[in-house]
Amino acid sequence: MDAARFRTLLLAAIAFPGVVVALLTGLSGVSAFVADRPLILAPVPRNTAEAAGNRDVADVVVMSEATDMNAPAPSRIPLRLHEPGLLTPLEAAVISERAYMIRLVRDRGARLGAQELRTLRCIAQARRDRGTIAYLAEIDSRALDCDGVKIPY
Amino acid sequence: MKPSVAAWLITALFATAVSASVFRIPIQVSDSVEILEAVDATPSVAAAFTQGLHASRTMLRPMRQTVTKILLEVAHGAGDRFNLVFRGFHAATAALLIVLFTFIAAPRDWSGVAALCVAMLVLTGLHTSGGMMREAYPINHFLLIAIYCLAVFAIAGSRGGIAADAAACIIFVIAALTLESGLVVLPIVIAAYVSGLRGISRNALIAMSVLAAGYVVLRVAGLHMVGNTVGERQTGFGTEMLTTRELEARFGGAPWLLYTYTIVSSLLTVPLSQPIAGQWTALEPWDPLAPPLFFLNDIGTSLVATGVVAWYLMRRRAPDGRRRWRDPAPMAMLAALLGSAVLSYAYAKSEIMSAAGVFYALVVCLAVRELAEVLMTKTRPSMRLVVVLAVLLVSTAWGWRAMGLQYRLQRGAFDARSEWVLRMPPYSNPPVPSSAARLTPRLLEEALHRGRTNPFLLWPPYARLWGEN
Repeated sequence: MDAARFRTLLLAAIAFPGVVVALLTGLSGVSAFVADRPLILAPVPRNTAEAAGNRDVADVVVMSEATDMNAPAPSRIPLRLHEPGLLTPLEAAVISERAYMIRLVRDRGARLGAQELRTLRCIAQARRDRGTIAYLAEIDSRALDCDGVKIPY
Repeated sequence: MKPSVAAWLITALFATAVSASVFRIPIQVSDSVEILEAVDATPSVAAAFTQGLHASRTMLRPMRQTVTKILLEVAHGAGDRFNLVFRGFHAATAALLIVLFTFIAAPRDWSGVAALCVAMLVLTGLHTSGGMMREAYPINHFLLIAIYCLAVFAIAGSRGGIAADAAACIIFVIAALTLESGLVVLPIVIAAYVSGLRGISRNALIAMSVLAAGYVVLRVAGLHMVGNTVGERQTGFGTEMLTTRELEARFGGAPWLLYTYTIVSSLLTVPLSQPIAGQWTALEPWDPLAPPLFFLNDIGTSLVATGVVAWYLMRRRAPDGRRRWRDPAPMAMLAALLGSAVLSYAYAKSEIMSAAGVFYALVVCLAVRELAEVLMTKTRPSMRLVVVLAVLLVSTAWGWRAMGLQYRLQRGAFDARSEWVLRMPPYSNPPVPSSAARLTPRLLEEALHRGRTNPFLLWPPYARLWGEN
């Protein structure tokens, strides 16, 4: 490598990551300013179940005004599931392992009948999450039998 | 393309990136709603200033209330668009910091532009910048202090004159009354003067010293305020984060031990990226299934950057052989580091060191430029490829850290938006009783409909590499 080429490559090596970060984040910033949609690092839930599964209380509140809170929908929950699953908002809330989310989804209109409650308790049991197990046990403290209950993921 | 044009293009991209992400964060519930409601109830800007004088026994920050009142008036005038005005102000100050940084770094050749690219990564990637950019109370006073520090340094490097002296004194007063950390403006001005900058005259320095004395008199004799003591806020010690009760039990009889530790911790956190808020988080037991690689990246990149800075400080400059550490930017960095560390004696907090972090990035810029020049002339031909690859590795690692700021700002938007549900009835007591909550309903409506983002939808290991569990 001759001196001139080395000089060019050295300066490029110093600057290149900064230029890439500037372009990526700068253009993403322009998109955020213009359309309120950053291009990187800002995914949004596609439905209420996905919001409930990913602890997004604000989106649950906003989306619940115009959606069926009992309808299952394909949901990505990367922190909890390897693959997207077809989940109701309540099922997703239990999978999020946040008891406040179950309460919020119910407050926003989700029905919790005996069969749904049994399914939710079985999901919580399968996930061994103490918080959601305790929360659901307060609603129904009877002995739990999960035979025949299909865990939806 | 001229180097200066490239430098400003890079600056514009970084400024757009940071300010856009800051702009999307809704006004927070915590540390903001109470202040907004209280200040909105005051009849005038002067009344807001007076309220700020008496708001606390330990904190003298009336300019926070004053600026908040001014922004509230603007927001009312714009049809109660509070987020537009407060976050617009926040975004503008974030952009201003980045623009001021480039103005001071003033790259004139391609080596300088390349160094600026790395310095921007350090400026935005350093952990002290995360809170500085993200938090608001409801104005971001740490960001303002960093701007004030850069501004007086820029004035010190100017041709000077009465206007420059007056501006420096006014900035000092505003900074000191915005946040206690604003007092660090004075040591920076002194450091600039000692290192040879004469944009701020000796008379102005004397005036600022008198103003600093007046500040102390106002605090102690006028308002009967006290300093922070042990146990008022949690802080780290060793590998632990101690609660206020634990602090009182352990250091109540020997506060100097905690103060000394906290000052030293704060001094180390900028060049080493550890400890964080006094806690050596990197020394906690690691999960073997998920090793915290971000510690390795944070500490490794900081060690390299600090090594380059140390090398630069010990070099002699060409004209007179004086050591580089006696130059203006390094002296200002040392003053900001020491001054901020002393001011954080009672509890460590990364944001308090944010102004020092900005000057650290400035010195990195100068040091990398000089290192590039030395490497170009002194690298043996057989080592050239190795040097290029090593440099690319380090700057890429800093690039990853800088991307982490974007992640944290998006996370900040998510958290702030979530607060508007979880910290409000029926899930929590409201921050302000409903009878006094004149702005809260509008703030809630705005918060729920802006800044949609959910970092939990990202592939988890990315988040882990930026320190997320």
